[in-house]
Parts: sequence; structure tokens; C-alpha cells
Amino acid sequence: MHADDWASGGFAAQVMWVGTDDRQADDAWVEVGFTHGWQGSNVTTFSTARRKTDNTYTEWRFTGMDTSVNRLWTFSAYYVATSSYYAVIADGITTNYKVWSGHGRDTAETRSTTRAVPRRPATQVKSTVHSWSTTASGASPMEPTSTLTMEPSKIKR
Amino acid sequence: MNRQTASASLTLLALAALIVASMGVTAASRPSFQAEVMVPKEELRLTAEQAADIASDRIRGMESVAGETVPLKILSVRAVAANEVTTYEPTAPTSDQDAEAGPVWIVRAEGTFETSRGRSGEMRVWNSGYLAIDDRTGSILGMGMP
Repeated sequence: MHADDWASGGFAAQVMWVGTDDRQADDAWVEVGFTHGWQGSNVTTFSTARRKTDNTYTEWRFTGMDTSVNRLWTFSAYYVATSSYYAVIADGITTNYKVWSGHGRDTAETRSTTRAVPRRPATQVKSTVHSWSTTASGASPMEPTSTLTMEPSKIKR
Repeated sequence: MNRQTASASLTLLALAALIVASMGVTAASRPSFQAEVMVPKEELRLTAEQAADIASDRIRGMESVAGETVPLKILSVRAVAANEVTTYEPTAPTSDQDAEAGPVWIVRAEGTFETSRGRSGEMRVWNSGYLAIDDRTGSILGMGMP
């Protein structure tokens, strides 16, 4: 997975989005994934982001993780209704989590995809393929209620 | 003082004046901002000015991608412990790992902040936001808008 245009903010990423606050995943969401290209740097990293219904958006990277490729990655998102927060876990390692607070309940919608966002100048984005699986939960805190496994796929432009 | 020494002295004086003048220009051209250091200064590798410069470079990069120019203005620069970031920027995520991480610079600014990381790939642009910079590496850890 590679974004030639990382210097101009481009990236290639494999991401799981979870719709939050009773909204579609295009509108309010938490996401967790793996990206090449981060904040205009030639960095490969696990990352997470969220957008709330009040149009606030935040993205953050995980540090100190194994970012080698061509292996299985598991991304998880847990909604903890009692405290209105999501915990996202990268690479299936529970110590690699981040908590996004201030969210209402999630929707049943969970989507995942592989894609790249080219920046000027447009460049061809190459990608190795990965197997990966995602899990997301709705009702039971810290217990995933649905699992989605995604086979290697081509990047959609 | 012979003629050669006098000439050398004049040259040195001129150079010194030039350096002072350029420092003045630099100081004058750098917008003032509020800087706070909430961690022991001896723990820091970056200065507030360096953190502001890293953020400014990134914001200018977003500006060129978005094709929109919101006048860049650094509003505040804070050095805080990683587990204190949400005290100043409540939208940031938390993690137990923060306790072991090094200091973080939070640079809040007016300017062009954009992202295309949403599922639709649509670019969204804000007129203000913040960047979180790892003091140990100078790399950007996170970003929040507005």
C-alpha cells in the first residue's frame, strides 16, 4: 500500500467506519485503520478519526506499533453506552486503543473499504493487498455484536 | 588603527548591523502568539517557535490542497503532557498509553484545515483547528477542527 503523493497530503488507507449518533457513516462516525501518508509525511501508521454531529472532526495516529504489511489486521470499535464513548482498537491488540468521548448510540451501519485519495499532482496509487477483518459492536459494551471480514481487494479510486 | 584594520572593523560593524536588522525583520514578521509550557522545560526538545513553524508548514500544505486561503494566524502554542491534551482540546482521543508518551505541543490556529479521510472521500474544510505535535520527534500526532 503506497501513496506516491504523500507529500501533498495524499494517502492510501484501509479503514473501518462505524456510523455514530444515529447517523450514517458518511455523516457522523468513528474510524480506525491503516494508512500510508499522514499529515504530509511519508509515514505508515495505524490511525483513527471521528466526526461528530456538531461538525467537529479529529484524527490521530497510533505510535509505537508494528506497521509491517502483508499480514492480518483486525480493527475493532466498541460503543460503551453508559459513558457515551467509543473505544477503537488497532491491529487487534487491546493496549493499542484510543477512546473517543461524547458520542450518542451507534447505528447498525458498519462499512469498510480500501481506498486512496490522490492529491495534486494526481499519481497512480499502488497497493499491496492485505487480508483484514473488522468488528463493531452496537448494544453490548465491549462485546462485539457483529464481525465483518474483508478479503483482499483492489483500491477504488 | 591602520587603514586595513579600520576597513575590517567597518565591515564587521556592517555585518553586525545586518544581522541585527534581519533578526528584527524575522521577529517582526513572525506573528505573536500565546505560548504556554505546562511541562518541565528541561523535558522539551522543541521550542514554541519550532512547534509553531511545524504547524504553519502543515497548514500551508492543507491550504494548497484545498485551494482556499484562510489567513494563517497562530493563536496559541502549548506544551503539555500527553495525558493532558484533552484538558485543552476536549475533542482529542485518550489512551492509557498517553501516560508513557512524551510531551505534546498543541498549536491552535486560524487557517485552512482540511481532510478527505471521511468514507465519501469528500474534502471538508474548516477555518480553524489545532495540530498536536510530538515533542520527541517533531511529527504530527493529530489534528482537530474547528
